[in-house]
Amino acid sequence: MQLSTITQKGQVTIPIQIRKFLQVTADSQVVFIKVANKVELHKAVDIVQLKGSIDTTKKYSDKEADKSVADYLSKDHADKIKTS
Amino acid sequence: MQIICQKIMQTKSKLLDANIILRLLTEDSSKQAEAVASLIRDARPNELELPDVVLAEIVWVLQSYYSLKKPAIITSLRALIETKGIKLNRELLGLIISIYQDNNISYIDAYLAARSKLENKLLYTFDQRLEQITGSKGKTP
Repeated sequence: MQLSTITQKGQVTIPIQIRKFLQVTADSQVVFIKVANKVELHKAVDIVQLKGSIDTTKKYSDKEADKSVADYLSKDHADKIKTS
Repeated sequence: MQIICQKIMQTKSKLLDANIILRLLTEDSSKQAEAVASLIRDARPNELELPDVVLAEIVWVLQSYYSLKKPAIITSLRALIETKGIKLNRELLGLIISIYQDNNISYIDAYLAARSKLENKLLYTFDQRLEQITGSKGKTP
């Protein structure tokens, strides 16, 4: 457990052990998230870090992608008509 | 005047198409993926705007064209929220993600439920599951 004091400007020092734990250094981005009545802090994972994360052999094509989306939406609509 | 116009052009956000994000994630062309990576890396905070409807398209393509499951889609959505160069409604998308994650509903249903909750608005629908998730705000016309 670590305690920090907030300055007049609202700044707070993240203790060195926590910075090491989160693997953050100067200029790293961190995220604050409300979880119930507390706030969680974590290192930001940005979209560039997910480059190539989708394991696929499919080549992207706007036309093919549009067709899949259209099929998905019509199926979703058909399913909803059945249930509502 | 010209200088002022240039200044405005520089500070205005730029729009992103769904395929920009998709080709980064799939890296089916390493050249294009790298071009997107440097575009996003070099962007000023909130310089690149992802409209709500484009976010929906990204989710639909990931789901239907690449057969991605919810947890993988959510990982990408969270990363978009946490990318400083990208401008999107962070509060809304954060709420959409938590509703989408906790319920067996589609992305668009989660979007509507999140809007209803965040903006305290009634939501008319014939979808009983969505009505339930929206709580007292869900209504059948």
